[in-house]
Parts: sequence; C-alpha cells; structure tokens
Amino acid sequence: MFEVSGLSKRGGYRNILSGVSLTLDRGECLLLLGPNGAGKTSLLRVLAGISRPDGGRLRMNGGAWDRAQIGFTSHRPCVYEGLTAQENLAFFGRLYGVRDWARRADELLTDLSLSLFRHEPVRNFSRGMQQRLDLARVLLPDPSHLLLDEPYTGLDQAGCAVLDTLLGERLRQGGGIVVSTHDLSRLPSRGRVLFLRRGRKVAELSDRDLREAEIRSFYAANASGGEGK
Amino acid sequence: MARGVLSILWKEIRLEYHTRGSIPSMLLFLGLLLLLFGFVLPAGATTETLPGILWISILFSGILGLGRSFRREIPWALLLAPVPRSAVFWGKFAANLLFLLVVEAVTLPLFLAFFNLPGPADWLETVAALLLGTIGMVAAGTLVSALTAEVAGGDFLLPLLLFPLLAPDLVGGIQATLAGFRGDAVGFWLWAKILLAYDVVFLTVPGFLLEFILEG
Repeated sequence: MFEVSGLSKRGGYRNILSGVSLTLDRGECLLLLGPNGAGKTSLLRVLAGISRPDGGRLRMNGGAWDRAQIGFTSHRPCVYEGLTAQENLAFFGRLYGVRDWARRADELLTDLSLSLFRHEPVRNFSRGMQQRLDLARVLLPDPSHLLLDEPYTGLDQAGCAVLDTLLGERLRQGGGIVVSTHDLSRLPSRGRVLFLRRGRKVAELSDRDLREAEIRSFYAANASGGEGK
Repeated sequence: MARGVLSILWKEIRLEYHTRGSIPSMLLFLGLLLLLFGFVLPAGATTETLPGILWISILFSGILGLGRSFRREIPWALLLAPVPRSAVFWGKFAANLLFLLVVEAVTLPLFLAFFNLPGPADWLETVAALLLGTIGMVAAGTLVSALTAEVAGGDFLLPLLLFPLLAPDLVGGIQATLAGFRGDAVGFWLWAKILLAYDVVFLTVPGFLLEFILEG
C-alpha cells in the first residue's frame, strides 16, 4: 500500500531521520517503538505530509503520495476548543469533501460515546473525550492509512477498548495502520514492529517475533540515547 | 480550492460567534483610541485630519485580530486536508477581512459623530478607499500572522514586521480616503491605483509562500 525509502529529515544541525525505509501492506499494523527523541513523531509527520522531508522517496499504491488517503492523530488532539463536537466534525467533513459527513459524524459520535455531548463546546471536554473526538475527526473521511501518535494517551479503559475495536475493524477492512507508542502491551497480534533510535531504523521485527517479553528486552537494550545527531 | 476557503471561513465565523474573540476586542480598542484622540487633538478636528486618525486606529485594532488569526489555529489540521495550501491563506484572509470590515462599518459613523464632522463629499470613493486599503492591510497581515504564529515572541514580531510592510498601504489609504472626503476624484484615482497594485502583490505572493511557511 505504501513504500518509503531512504527518508531523511534535518532539524538545525541534527539528523532527525536518517535513511529510514519501510513498507506497509493492506490490513497491516506497524508499531513504531523507540525512546524519546528517536524520531517516531517526526517520521509520522513526514508521512502525514505536515513536514517536508529533506531526502527519500514516498510512494503510495505504486504512484504518488496522496495525503487525502492519510489520517493522522498527534498526542495533542487536533480539535478546536471553541467549537462544539458537532461543529468540529462538520468543519473537517466539509474541508475533506466528505459527502455524507452528517451521517458519518452521527455514527462516529455514537461509536465513541460522545453523542450526548455533540453540542457541548470542546473546551468543556476532558482530555480523554477530546482524544475520542480527535479519533472521530480522523475516521470521518475514511482514509486508507491511519498514522497514530500515542493514541492511547489520555484514554480510559473503555476508550482504549473502543480504539482497539475500531482499529481492528480498519485492519479487517484492509486499511493500514502505523502506531507510535511506548505501551508494549499494545503489541498487535499481527503486524510488524519498527524500532527507531537516533533517527535510524535499528530493527524491524515481524509478527512471528512479536512476543512481548522479547520486545521488552530488545527495547531495554536499545533505548538509551534517543536524540539524533 | 473553493471548498477549502469556504470551510475555513465558516469555521472562523463559528469560532468568532462562540468565543467572541476578535470583533469585540477590536471594537473596544477602537473606542478607547477614539477617546484618546478626543483628548489629545486640539479642538475642532477637521476632515483633513480625520483620515489619518481613522487609518491609524484601524491599523492598531486590526493588529489585534490579525495576531489571533493563526495563533488560535492548529496549523497541521489544515495542512492535512486535501485542499491546496493557498486555500488556508484565502480562508483566513476572507475571515479577517470580514471581521475588520464589520469593525470599520461601526467605526466610521462613530468617528464622524464623535468629532462632529459632516460626511465625506464622495461616499463611494471613501468606501472604496477604505475597502482597497483594508484588503491590502489584511492580506499582508494574514501573511505575517502565519509567519510569526509559531515563532517565540511572535506577538512582538507581528507589528515589527508588519508596520514597515504596510507603509505604502497606509499612506495610500489615508490619501485616497482624504480625496474621498474632499471629493477630489483625480487624487482618489491616483492613490486608488497604488492601493490596487499593493493589493495585487499581497494577494498573489502569499499563495506561493504559504507552502514553505506552514510546513516544517
């Protein structure tokens, strides 16, 4: 579904990303692991089209990179606190040209247990509720690829379970998901783990290697000194 | 493009409706300026001095609104959308222009009443001068607002960068408005052409620059 090769990004005098290559197939989940400053968020931002890479090649479905097919959430919810939940989804639905945005917004608000709060200003929402609304924003245009940066941060147990269910559905429907996290209990049952350190890919583990204990020991051995230079 | 511009404009109007952030603060600031000018100006301000006072007041209060424009934005929320990047500029520009024109529509009669002055000799020319000058001011202001929003000390940088950039627009606006007050058609057209040229430049350039300004 997408293929990235030799991606590099500089920030000042630092190499934030150095020659990172990865692929993501249909229905596959790629987990990004690495210590703080390893380049996980920077990689997601470049893939989302927010940040311009200094080098490398990005191809989607064998053609040019299409940012309309990307849904991205950051650890900071991307919703307007001055608008209501419904207005936020109305704005993003219109901006993305989603034809039946009102019906989709209703469904998503119900799925994410926010339908009672649809006319509340988002500034009154808790962090977890904002996170859920952010997820609704991302899923509204139905992108084929999801890039999720620390999506479980701020969510309660019920929220985490809803997120797991929604992501599971996306994978079954053939969508691709890249998740950056420090929570090793969220290892996908099927997929791959990409380990970043100082802006470089240091390991890529396939699903047959995805045993939490082994990942933990690998993480401990490679986690020191995240920043690139 | 049109979809992106209209969506952003709709969002800005809803945000303004809920937060009442820009228009009331600009109006309040203009009211305070009006009072201050009333104190410091010698008795009997004339139509010769009014355009200058009016434009300085619009500039100062406009900075308030323009400063908020990108500071309350989540830039990458707009960058992710499958619309041209220039739509972000046009949407923001349209909203800022609308808000400042609302403020001006309230301010002009207030100024005339406060200084006890008759209306302009040519209303059409005066309104055209205000419109052309405001378009240039908002276009340049929206660009500089985008440039300084994510920078440390952006509040300080915005007027510092914007005031010199606005000098031709401000001079043109004052002179064209003065010509409108006098009913001097020749003078109006001379300055209107300068304002028009300024508007064309600052409505064209940001469309190309915004790609680099908003992306990291």
